[in-house]
Amino acid sequence: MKDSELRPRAGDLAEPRSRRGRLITRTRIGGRRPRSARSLRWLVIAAVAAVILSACGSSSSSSAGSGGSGTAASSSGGSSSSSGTINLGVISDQTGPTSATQLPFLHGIETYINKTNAQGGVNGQKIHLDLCDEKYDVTAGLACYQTLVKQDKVSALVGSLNDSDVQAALIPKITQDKIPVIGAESTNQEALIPFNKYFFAMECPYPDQADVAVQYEKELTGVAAPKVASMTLSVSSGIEWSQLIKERVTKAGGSLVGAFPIPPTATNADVVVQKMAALHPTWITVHGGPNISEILLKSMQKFGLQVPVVGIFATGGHLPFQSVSPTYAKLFHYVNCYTPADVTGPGTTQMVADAQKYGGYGAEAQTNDPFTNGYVVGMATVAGLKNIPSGTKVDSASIVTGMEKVNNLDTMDLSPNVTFGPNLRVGVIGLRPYGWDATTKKIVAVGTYDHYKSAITGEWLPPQSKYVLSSSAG
Amino acid sequence: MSDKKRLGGSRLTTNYRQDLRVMPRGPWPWLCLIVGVAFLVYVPTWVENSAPLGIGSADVNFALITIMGAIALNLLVGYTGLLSMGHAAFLALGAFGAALLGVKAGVPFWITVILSGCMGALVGALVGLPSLRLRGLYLLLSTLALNFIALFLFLKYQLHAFGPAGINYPYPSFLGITFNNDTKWYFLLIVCVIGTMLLSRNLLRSRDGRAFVAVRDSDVAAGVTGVNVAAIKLKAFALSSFIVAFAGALYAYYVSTVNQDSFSLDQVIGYYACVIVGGLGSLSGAVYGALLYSLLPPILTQLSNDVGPNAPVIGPLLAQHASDLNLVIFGVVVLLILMVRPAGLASIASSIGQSFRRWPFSS
Amino acid sequence: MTAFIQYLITGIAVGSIYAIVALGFSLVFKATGVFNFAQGSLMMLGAFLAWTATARWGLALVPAIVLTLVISGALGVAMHFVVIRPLMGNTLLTLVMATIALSLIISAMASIIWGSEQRLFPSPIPDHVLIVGGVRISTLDLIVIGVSGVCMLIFGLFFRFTTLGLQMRATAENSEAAVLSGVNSQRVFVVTFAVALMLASIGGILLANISLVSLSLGDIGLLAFPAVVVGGLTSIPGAVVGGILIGVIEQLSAAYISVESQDVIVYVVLLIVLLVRPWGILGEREVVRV
Repeated sequence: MKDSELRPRAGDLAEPRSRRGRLITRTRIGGRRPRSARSLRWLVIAAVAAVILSACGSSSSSSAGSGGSGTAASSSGGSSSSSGTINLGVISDQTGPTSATQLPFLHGIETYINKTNAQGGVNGQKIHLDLCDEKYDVTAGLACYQTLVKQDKVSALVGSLNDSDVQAALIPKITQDKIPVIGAESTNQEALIPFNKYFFAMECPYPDQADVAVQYEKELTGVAAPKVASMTLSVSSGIEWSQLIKERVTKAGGSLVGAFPIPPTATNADVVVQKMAALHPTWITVHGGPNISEILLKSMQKFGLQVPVVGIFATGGHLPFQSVSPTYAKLFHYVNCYTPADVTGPGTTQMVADAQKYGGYGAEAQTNDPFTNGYVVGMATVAGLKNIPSGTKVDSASIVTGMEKVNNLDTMDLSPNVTFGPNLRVGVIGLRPYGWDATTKKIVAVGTYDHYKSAITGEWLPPQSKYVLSSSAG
Repeated sequence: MSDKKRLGGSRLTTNYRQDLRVMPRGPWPWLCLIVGVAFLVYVPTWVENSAPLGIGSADVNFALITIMGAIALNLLVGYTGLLSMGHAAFLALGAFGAALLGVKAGVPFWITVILSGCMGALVGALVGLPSLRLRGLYLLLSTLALNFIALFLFLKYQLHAFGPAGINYPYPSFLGITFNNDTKWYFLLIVCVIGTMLLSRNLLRSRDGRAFVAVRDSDVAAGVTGVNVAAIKLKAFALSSFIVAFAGALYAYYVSTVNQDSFSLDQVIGYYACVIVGGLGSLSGAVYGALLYSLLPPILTQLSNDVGPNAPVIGPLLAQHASDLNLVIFGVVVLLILMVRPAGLASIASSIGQSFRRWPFSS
Repeated sequence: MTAFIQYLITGIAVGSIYAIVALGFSLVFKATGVFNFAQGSLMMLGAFLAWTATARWGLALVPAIVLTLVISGALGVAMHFVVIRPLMGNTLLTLVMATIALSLIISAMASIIWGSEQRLFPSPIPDHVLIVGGVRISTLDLIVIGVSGVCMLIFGLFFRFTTLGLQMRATAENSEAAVLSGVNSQRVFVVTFAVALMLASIGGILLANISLVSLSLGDIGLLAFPAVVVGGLTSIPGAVVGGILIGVIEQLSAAYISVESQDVIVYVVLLIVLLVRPWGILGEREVVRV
């Protein structure tokens, strides 16, 4: 009894199974014509030949330039570590579920790098960005790492490891391979503690956000021991956010009267808001994306719950403010360590102008907070590269030394000053709240970064970095 | 059993080897085997050094894990005709077993992985219980519901036992080798994949295997001819879930950190796409489908890099929307296969093989 | 007590959206035997089309909706001819995979065309609050319930009193007998798909008004499966009843059990219904011929 007799024959699966079907499908007279295998044979020979030729042809592949719109001025296709270019890799989500925040972030980095290249590069060397799309997927992230580091031999990763899963999976690898990672768009606790020489963090960690959020609400409501309710996504980081807020509020004598994790597919927050209303909170905190803060505000408007709301950096943007009436829009604030382009100032004006000139991203820069984040990461990277003496070869080790020397980098109020050091890998310490001006329909800043610095306790700072808090006490 | 044994003085065949000797195939099978093994051994060095078509060593390892998952799904859906959407939940179960035993309890790697598989088999049998009452669409929906419930429970466990950041797995070690780079993982995974393939092939040749196929074709008729349909269905679920949980435990160790985002409904759909594109009910089909599914993204990425963002029309499309394009291509491939060649890539491959073999008599 | 009524009304509003999606599922399933997994993605497509019409082309709300319905209807016809018709009569798995593949293609194409940014629906449906005896109802909720009710009424009348409706019912009941009686079953299928897509678009526009226009609108399709099954796969009024029931169950379990497990509880309900009474509340027991 041969195996082939037991396997379903080719026709079986195409045979109509339902009696209903038999009347409906067109009947072919004489059944199906057998497909000629001769043409398939030649096709296979040709395909195999093509594959072998292309596989032998491509040696360590060098990828062409950045993925922005064609007007970018970045250099294209230099092979790895040739004397004229500095090769930096970017692993980010370009087409996956978080690309709405990660694409503007990437474009911010590209804008600043393009500007630097247009002005002559760093010590005469141009910077080349090697992009790889990880699609918010650990599998793709790991594969990207292999490609960029092992094959393309980039010297450092910039604006990479932006999603906490990929970050967690790659931290051991970058440590083992000694590849610096500059300016990831998220910061896991494991990346900071124990002290990791290669991870240059530039995204305000969750505990810092919690510190400033609690401090701001205390100043706003005048209540030192508040009753707080929290609405978060039911994912790990949401649970973590509730815990962090609870710790701070309890320490101040207040309490977290209710924590409500909601599934990401929730379309309204009615039940949560009704429950919160019954608890009479002093203020509410929210975690998630702009859609979560939007449904919270909408439900609050529906039930007339007028209580201040403070959210993490990701809950901001124009959307939540525009979805409700001004009465409720003015109740909402979100904390961020980066300044949205709406806030007028020399820094934001320069950034938007650069965005338009070096990539056509003007409109995107104007309405997307993460763009500022990327732009500042670009600034810090270039500053670090410029710290490398001009005779020295630019490689992973010299980039680490160069970044360590970045001290009090003034980003024109686009963020707190960026400072690293031999024992400091958290470059951006400081946040401030952002709210909404209904008359101008723009996001406005509340206070300065320095004002809130004293509230930050640096929970995720390793012991050797704690010195930075006392030196910058407001 | 001696090949030359004769029964009753006549040439009755009693095993496959005797059967196959009717058509002598000469040294070809052995030659192919040697070349195949040599190629497999060469793959990691080839991929590491020159990344053919943009495929990296991580891609190859993930492809191997996907092959295991696809073979398991083929066992369930292709051989036994039981539509189950629970694949992601079993992968998560494997990761959970690895976390519970390997990380928390410190059980050695190989025992952990096998025990995770056994846990998968047990739960699989439980999940298979609805299949005794439900058929077709209802079975699909019930396994879908179970899938979501299981993933929710996994999240609860992860938060309770490990905290919000996810579960971290150390580098495993087995027989004194620590698996901390892709080449070592490749050889481990190749052995596992070959084992799974042998398991699947031999299953079909056994009595139970034939019973699986009988249940697929018509379970009522199978029952009439003496097949214990309930036991067979549960066996199919148990076996398939064992392999998936095993693969899930390996996946967890390879990726070294998982949390609830690692497992989703999209994975289940991906596995189904593998199996259908490859050809339902065929072992080589599952392999082809899984290879295509896992290796298409890096090939597309390489293509987008080679073409560059300035090429007309496809340049910016590839540069910014590579993964969307990947999905579109795969969706179109699935539809084409379903409409034009339902028996999948395996049938295309075998018909090509036939035409080569029968040349110059092929049509 | 007020709280309970409040939850109930929110549940009915959410459930009405599920009901519209479920109605689309049920319509297609009853007439053609195809379980259309792409219904969720089609909702998302409808929402994006309406958004493009209002935000990009500057149409007012009502003409935009009409245009969206026309385009969806045309897409439904195209979908039927290109994908469904060649595969009619095939095994369940083939049809399921075909519609899943279709939904993947639609989601990916939407991402390519419109990008992954989340947008606010411009010129939205008015969202004011009415207070009736201590119970707060938003006009948006009322409009959602109203629209769903009107849709169902139209369908009920359509099926009952028009020739085409009668033909659809006949084909759904027994396609061979219908063909023998002179019903053009091809035409019936085409109309069924067009109508199902239009329903999906309406559901998508309503949902986009409640939350945002985003690529994840299609995920609601997953929650509509329990709705169809609970109500009865083989019954069209069952889909509506199932949808509203699932919406109410979801909100009540969020309120009285736990908010984060509201989805899981819906699936548990689905599982229980499947094990105990697979043909749902209003469906009929299926007889399988061997």
